Amino acid sequence: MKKEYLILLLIFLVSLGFQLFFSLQVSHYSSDDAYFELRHSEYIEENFKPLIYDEMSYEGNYILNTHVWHYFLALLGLLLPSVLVYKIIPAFLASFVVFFVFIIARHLTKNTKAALFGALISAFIPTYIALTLNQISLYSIYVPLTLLLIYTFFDIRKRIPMFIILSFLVVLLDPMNFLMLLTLLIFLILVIAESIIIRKEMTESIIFFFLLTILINLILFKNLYIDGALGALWQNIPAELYANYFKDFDIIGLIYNIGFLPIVLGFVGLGLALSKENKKEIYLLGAVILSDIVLLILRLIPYEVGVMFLAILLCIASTITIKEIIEYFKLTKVVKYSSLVIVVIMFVTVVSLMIPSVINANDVIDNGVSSEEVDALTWISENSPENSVVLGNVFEGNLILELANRANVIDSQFLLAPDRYYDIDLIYTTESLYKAGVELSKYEVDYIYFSEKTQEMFGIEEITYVSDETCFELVYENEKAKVYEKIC
Amino acid sequence: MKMKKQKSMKKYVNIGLILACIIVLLIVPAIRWSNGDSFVGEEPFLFLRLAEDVGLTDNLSYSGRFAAYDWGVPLAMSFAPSILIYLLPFIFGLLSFIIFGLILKKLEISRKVRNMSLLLFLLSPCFVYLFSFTNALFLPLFICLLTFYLFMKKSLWTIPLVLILPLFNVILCASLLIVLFFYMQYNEKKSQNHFILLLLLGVITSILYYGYFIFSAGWPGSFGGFSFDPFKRMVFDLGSSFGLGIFVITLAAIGILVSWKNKYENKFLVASLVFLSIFSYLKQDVLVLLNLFIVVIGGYGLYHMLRIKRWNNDTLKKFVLIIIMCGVAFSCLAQFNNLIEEGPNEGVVKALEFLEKQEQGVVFSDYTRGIWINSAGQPNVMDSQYKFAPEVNERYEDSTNFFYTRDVENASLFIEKYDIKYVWVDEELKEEIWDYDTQGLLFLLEYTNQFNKIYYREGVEIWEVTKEE
Repeated sequence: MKKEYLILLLIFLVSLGFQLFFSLQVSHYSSDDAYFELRHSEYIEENFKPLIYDEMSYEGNYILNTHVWHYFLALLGLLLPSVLVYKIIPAFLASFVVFFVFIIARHLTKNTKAALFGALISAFIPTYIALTLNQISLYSIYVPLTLLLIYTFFDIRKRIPMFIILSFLVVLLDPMNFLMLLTLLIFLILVIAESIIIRKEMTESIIFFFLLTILINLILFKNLYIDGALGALWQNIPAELYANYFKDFDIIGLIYNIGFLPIVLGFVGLGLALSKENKKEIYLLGAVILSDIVLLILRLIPYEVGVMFLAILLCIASTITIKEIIEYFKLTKVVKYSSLVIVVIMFVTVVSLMIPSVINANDVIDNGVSSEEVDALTWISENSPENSVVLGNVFEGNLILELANRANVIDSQFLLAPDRYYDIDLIYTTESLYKAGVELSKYEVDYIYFSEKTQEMFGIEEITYVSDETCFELVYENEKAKVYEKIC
Repeated sequence: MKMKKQKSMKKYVNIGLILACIIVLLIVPAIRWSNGDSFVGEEPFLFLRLAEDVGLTDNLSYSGRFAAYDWGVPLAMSFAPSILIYLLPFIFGLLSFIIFGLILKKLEISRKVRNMSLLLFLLSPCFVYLFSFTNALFLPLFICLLTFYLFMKKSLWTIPLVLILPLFNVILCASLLIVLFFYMQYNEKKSQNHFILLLLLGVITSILYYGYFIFSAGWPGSFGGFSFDPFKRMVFDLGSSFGLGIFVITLAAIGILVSWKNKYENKFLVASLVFLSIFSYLKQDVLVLLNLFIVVIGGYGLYHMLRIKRWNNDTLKKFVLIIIMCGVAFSCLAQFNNLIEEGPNEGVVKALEFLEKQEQGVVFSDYTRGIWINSAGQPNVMDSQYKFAPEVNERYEDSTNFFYTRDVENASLFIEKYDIKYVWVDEELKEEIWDYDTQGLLFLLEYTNQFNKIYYREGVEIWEVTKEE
């Protein structure tokens, strides 16, 4: 095996080891969304069909999802133990990013050292780790596949069958992610504007991808678009939570989330490439970065997801700068120190990414779902009647469904759900027993799950009215969660 | 031998298209009939009632008003309303399809593009909507097509058609005249006199017809806001009830792109397309004409995509065509589904039958139920035929206040003002208007002795207003 492949394999193993080191520290998963993925793939595993109408979510809610990721996990679940399926395989898939960053960077720079540099820094992208670590996240597979799709597009003539398969997978995995669609359209505009001749297969592939995205979106989300027109792109997220998902795009936030060096190296690389070369691959990279920024500015992509893509793309673009530096040193008298300079740049970049990555990883594990919360919810599943309804905050809905196995009042499946956020806010924050009683009766709540996270979310120490012992009884308590039963 | 084979092939394609048209036209009526459902939406109820009782006053709508309607469709049905209400959409759907084909032939559009355009027309949500049930637009579209065809043939039979068109739809009449102007200007300058004659007749008839309405009932009123979202107004897949299919628009975009270099040779097409696109944004009825142009350009786009030489990769071509055909079929199927699912449901029909047997009196409900209430022989407070209706905005505001009031006195004043005898509430209304079960009028109905529930079945409640002794 060639040396560079050994190094690449080593980078992959480091990335995988990093993910597993953190995720195997706890037996549970670290986010509410993880339990959504778990519940649906387990359902498919047991019933061989997806859960279209979830009677327990919102006490009855249609789940608009293609379930491709759930089917994949369920299929593996039939053959492999759950730790492997839900902990190791997502980490394994997420770590594949390093391979795809490597092949794209090598294609762009024709320089193995620069490509390896790109692969190494892509192993430690803080936002990517925050989104994929121990969360059975769809992005563990979506991001590598999107990168592979971009790579197949570079030399589309030879890779059309692969492009078609990947297009189907990418669109079906996350139909409402319009990054690739916008990328291809911007790419087309850029090459036309620059009078670059592209192969007909490229135009045909863009038409294919465009039509496929529209068709899948129409079939799945037609009613959503009819009700909310283009507002449907914001996924019916309650107004109060909108800022949580679609934040303002600002440079300071970008530096914090991506890191100073990848941003500088990435944009410099892109600028250099665009000024020097008239290659369609560079325009494609430019188009995907531009699309991501446009989507972030227009708030058409969740902030974390948009920033994560931007970070990965800038890692790829930064390899162009590294290549330029290497080539520049070759022309100077300090050529013998070039390796040293590269190692220094690499070290500084990796360290500048590694520190926030470790912080993010620790944060995911420590501040994600805790074992105390799992205990409290497990207690509910063992000690409450099966048909009871449990109230939790919006980011605990899937935990209630999966761990407590009880109906919830609200969760993060907003697409076709009624807007209950205001009522939930009222229940937790009101001091009036009457007001709370009306709302609790409206949703037929039997148990109130009150966690530390709910305290932080609503800025409260305690629910005021639960002191009325004729109406509420504290039935479970640990360090991070309490469970109240409504008895009146 | 080859020529003979081609001729017989053409014949089979034509027969196939006509058969497909018949099937498309029969799907919605057949399924609704087999489900035991009634007419689709409100319009058939209105036209049936008007056709059975032709006159200048309508005693039921708005509890009595001047009958300022588009009388064309009811008059055409008045010979045998109960039969023609089922037959007319089918007959004129088939005829419109054939005339559209003849127009394309006369415009010298190649056979392949013509067939593709006809196929797209057949599968367009607009065609399915117009000719699956009796509505206000199917006959005007047929007259527009026939007038255009006869104008191309320089026939003077266009004169009676333009004379009667304002009775059906004055907006479509105006749009047709503008399209004819473009045709005359760019394709057939010799027809100038013919066009001027039609223009004068169209304008005079429209002024006479609507002038009489304005003279008798005042200026047409309006209420509700204008939706500025062009997608929602014009694209079926994004919410328009008979708008353009998104995949046909895509095909049309491809058609425009590939024929852009010939734009000066197709001035008629370009001018009509621009005019109809802008006008249909302002007046949705014009979408039925825009659809005709879009399917032709879409047909050209589809033809271009099918030309093998233009594609470098056969696999991609197949996939793209499959996706496009799936998309076109999806829009068509979605329209079928919409029309099959459209109200009134069985519960509403049974409630109307009950209402028909009651003593006559004003029935209050949301204006979207007004025409159904009239069909049961009962007057309403208001309905969706708001043009030229008396005090539309006042009635709308009063109705909205009544829906949300819990004040018995306010409610009594409203009841007295409009002499209300019954109140109609159904499940859909409850979902659309009120947030909870004891809000506004729902509270009054349930917890005061002012109302007496006389009917409650399958989600429909009819309450009688109790007379104070």
